[in-house]
This record gives sequence, structure tokens and C-alpha cells, in this order.
Amino acid sequence: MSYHFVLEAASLIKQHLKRTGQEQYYILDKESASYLKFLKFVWTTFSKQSEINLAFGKPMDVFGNFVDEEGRSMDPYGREVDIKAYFEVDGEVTEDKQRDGVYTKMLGEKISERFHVENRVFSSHLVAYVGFEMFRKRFPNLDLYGILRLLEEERRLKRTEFFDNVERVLNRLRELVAQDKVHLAGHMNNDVPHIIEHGISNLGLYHAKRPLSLVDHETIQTEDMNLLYFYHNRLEGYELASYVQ
Amino acid sequence: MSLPPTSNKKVGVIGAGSFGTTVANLLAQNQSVLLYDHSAEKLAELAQNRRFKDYEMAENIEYTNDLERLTSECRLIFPVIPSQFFRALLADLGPYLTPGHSLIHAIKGLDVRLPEGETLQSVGSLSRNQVKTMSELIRSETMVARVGCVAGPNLAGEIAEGMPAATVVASPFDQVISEGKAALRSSRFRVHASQDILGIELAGVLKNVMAIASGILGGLGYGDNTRALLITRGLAEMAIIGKKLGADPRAFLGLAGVGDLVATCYSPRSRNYTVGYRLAKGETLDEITASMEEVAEGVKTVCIVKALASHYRISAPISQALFRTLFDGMEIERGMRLLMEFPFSEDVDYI
Repeated sequence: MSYHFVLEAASLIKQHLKRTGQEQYYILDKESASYLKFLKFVWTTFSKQSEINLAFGKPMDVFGNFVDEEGRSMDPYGREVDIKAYFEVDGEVTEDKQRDGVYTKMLGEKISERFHVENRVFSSHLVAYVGFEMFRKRFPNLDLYGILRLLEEERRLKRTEFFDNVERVLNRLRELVAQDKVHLAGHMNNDVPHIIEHGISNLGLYHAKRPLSLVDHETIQTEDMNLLYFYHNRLEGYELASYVQ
Repeated sequence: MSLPPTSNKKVGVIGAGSFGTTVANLLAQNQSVLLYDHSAEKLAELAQNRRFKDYEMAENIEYTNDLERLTSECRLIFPVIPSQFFRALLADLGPYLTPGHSLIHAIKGLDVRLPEGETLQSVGSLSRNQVKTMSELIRSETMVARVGCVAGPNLAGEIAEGMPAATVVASPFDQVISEGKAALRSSRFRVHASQDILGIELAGVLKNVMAIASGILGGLGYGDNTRALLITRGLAEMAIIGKKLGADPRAFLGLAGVGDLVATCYSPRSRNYTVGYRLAKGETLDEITASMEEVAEGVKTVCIVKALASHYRISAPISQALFRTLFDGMEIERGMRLLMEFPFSEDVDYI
């Protein structure tokens, strides 16, 4: 499922940063009051339309093997997989909760791998990725937590540079699509200026603080670095960083 | 394919090099062994002489050049070949493997997916997504789910001579650990267990870099203080890189980490140590690798670590200095100076 907006984005990214960053991540301001304001904002503006894309990937069994039209699990060599073999020791099916727990974890990894390929990239994912990576490139000596704490006046990007970077990353994404490594949403067939406009106007549509917005004809800004990081993550893992300057 | 039960066991080994034959002999103390190698000539010689170099091969080892036979007769298989050939081997082996097989490898290298037009030496940076451990490669390229690895201070020559030693069998599956322990242990070979397969694999891989550096120190005639400095800072560097790649740094404190690091950093029997030693004595890397019978995995690993460190912006001063010495023509003395002047901060900052 692909979408421009995640209702819980702010709290999800905060939880993630607290877990991964530990002492490096400080919550700078208590946002309970603004959170209520934010919720109110969301519900009052929820009548706005936002695109949701449902894509169905290739069916898999519980071990991540692809399943054919008759429901048979198949291996990459075209052989039917004997599922029983996963549970056998010395030719006997055995009960082993520890083993089954590992299989469940492995299934999670397989689902994550397939999601990566079946993912449909939206314009909003693209602009968020490029925006955040531009900040990273501009402040090479700062770690993630330093980037997230940039001052307001530092959170601005030149529009022309932003456009060039979006174009480069988009071209790379199109190459990946040709290699069947990711998919693009229909609206991504548009030209670059339209994709950027579509992306910025849809990115985190209902958030009180916009992850990206146009200040004027020259400048793009972010009002919430954490949210920009959250939406940027949708394109992590495709080795796109080197296409941003 | 119906597989034989492990209780009726014959265990498979892939690779008849010095460590492959050592593993085969260790396994032969507990069950019969089927040893596969791609070279029919080498196998014929082993079968006829029952010797590998100076060491005898056990009577209950059979030899085969047929992967289909190996996989049909053995449910538990130990691949022991250089990492650079493993992907190709799995392509040949894959069609015969089923989810019923268990593979416990003893390979101390990484598989790298390089961007087009790049080589290991030219690639500027590598991310975790581009690098696979051998167990990850087995899982991605075959139907085998039950994977494990063996790592530890296991210099082949010493084990072959019957000296006491120990190793770690790591697997996320308790069942694979039990099978590996039962297959390998003997009165002179202890087997410890770990569920942290990623940490154990990375410890075994990364220590080879430090072994090359230690060989250089040996070749230069430096003493034990210098060696101890290298080992402790090397351990920190290994743990920091391992942590970045997703491993628990505690894995580096056990047999596969500190244990193997100390053994290889002090042993002229280690191939990686030998590379460093001969380099310090004035030979070029090309001359050394051309004259070695078996692969020193550390040379490739130096390139991978340097590229990973660059991607993740972490300091890996020993690996980086070693890369420049091996591939950029930096003089060894200059590399030493760089390391001595490097602003290391805390003594232990990786746990």
C-alpha cells in the first residue's frame, strides 16, 4: 500500500529515533498541547482527498517461496517445494518452537525484501528523499541527530538545486523500474516540475507542520525535520544517495 | 529427493583445501564423511595416498566430484572453500538442495555486489545492502533455511597435528547448533555455541585484516607491545564495524573474535599474517598472492571494510591505512606513523 500521508508519522518517527538513538536523541519540546492541536487539524481537514495505491505482489507461502496458480510452492528451479522438509529431523516431522520462531523471523525478512521490490514510489516519497539527502550532503560533518536539530534558518534549500537533484534521482528510479527492482505510481510519468509540485503539495498533506513547502520562487523549506526524515525513509535501501549532490 | 536421516549419518564437506581436509578429519572422528572438491585430480590423489600434505586422511572419508551424490547422501554439509568461489558453487549446488538440508560453512569472507564498472579496489563506498555474509548468501541463493557457521582460533596445521583447540558453531537454529556440535566435537576439539551467526561470521571475516597488519609488524621486527596495541585497537575496529553491520559487539569478545584474532595475529601459519610479513620484507602484493597456494581472504576484506567505513562514515584507521599500503603504494613506515598519530579517544568505546 502506498500513500502520501501517515496519520501517526510524528509519533512513529519519534519512537524510532528514541529506540535507535537512545542518548543521542532528545525530545526538545513537549508537544502534548500541539499534538492535540494537530489532531484537531487532522480531523477538520480530513475531507481533503489523498491518493492511496494498492498493489498486489506475487503470492508467497509462509517461507517466502512463490506460489503458483494451483497453490503449489515452487523453488527458483521450477521444482515443487516439499514444505514438510522444513519441519523434518531424521525424516520425521518434529515440534520445535525455537525453530518455528526463527522461521517466523525469516518470513518477516522475506516480506520486507518483497515489499522493497513491490513498493510503488509516489512523488511525495521522492521529494522527501531528495530534500532530506540534500541536508545530509550540505552538513557532512553532522550525524543524523545533528541534521534533525538544524536551526530554522538552516532548513532551507535552493529550488533550482532541488529540481536538479529530483531529476537525477527520478532518472535512477526509472532505471531501477526497468530492472524490475521497484515500481512508480502512475502520476510519476509526468514531467519533473509537475512531479515536484504534486509531491510537495501532497507530502504529509494533513500535518500541521509541513515536511516540505515552497517559501518563494527561490526557496523550499521544511517545518519539521523529523517528518521529512520519516517520509524520506520510504526510499532508503535503493542506493540513491549518490545521485543527490 | 528423500534425504538420509542424520542418525544414519554421513556428513558432507565441500572443499579439499587445507582447512576443508582438516574439517573432514575432525568430522570423521564421529561419523563417515563424503568430501567433495571440484578437482577430480586432487580427489584421486587424496583417495590414493590417504594424505593431504604432511597429514593423514581418516579411513572413513570418501571422495566425490559429484554434487548430486553429495546432496543425496548427506543432509548436513560443511562448505569450506574461499569466499570468492562460493556464489558460483551455490549456483551449481542449488538445484540439488532442499529445505531439509543444513549447511554449516567455515568460510571467512564476504560476498559483494559491486556497482557496474567498479572493482573491489576502485569502489568508493559500500552499504550493508551490497554486502552479504556467507550464511546470507546460502539463504538468498538456495532453498536451505537451516544455516550455521564455524569460526574460532582454528589454524589447520595445529588441528591436524592433534593439538587441543576450540571453535564456535553459530546458528539461529538450536537444532543446527546441536548437530554441528555433535558432528565436530572430540576429546581434543571443544565446540562452543552461539545464536549470533552474524556476529560470529563477521568476527571471523574481519580478524583477517588485523592478521595482515600483524604480519607487517612481525616483518618489521616490532615487539609484543606493538602487537598488543594492534590487537586491542584491531578488536575495537572490528567491533565498531560489526556493530554498524548489525552484529552484537559481544560476539567479538569470544573465541571467534579475540580468540581467532590472537591466534592469527601471532601465527606465521596464518595465510593473512604471511601476506603482511612478506610485504614488510619488501615483496609486492602481486608477487605474494601469485606465489601462495591458497587464498588469503584478508586482502579482499581490506577493500570491503575500507568501502563500508567510507559509506557509514566510521573511522577504521587500521583497515584504511592497510588499504593505502596494499593498493595505493603508501610506504609501510608512513602507514605506521599515521596509526600512531591517529586520535583514538576512549580505550573501550565499543561495548
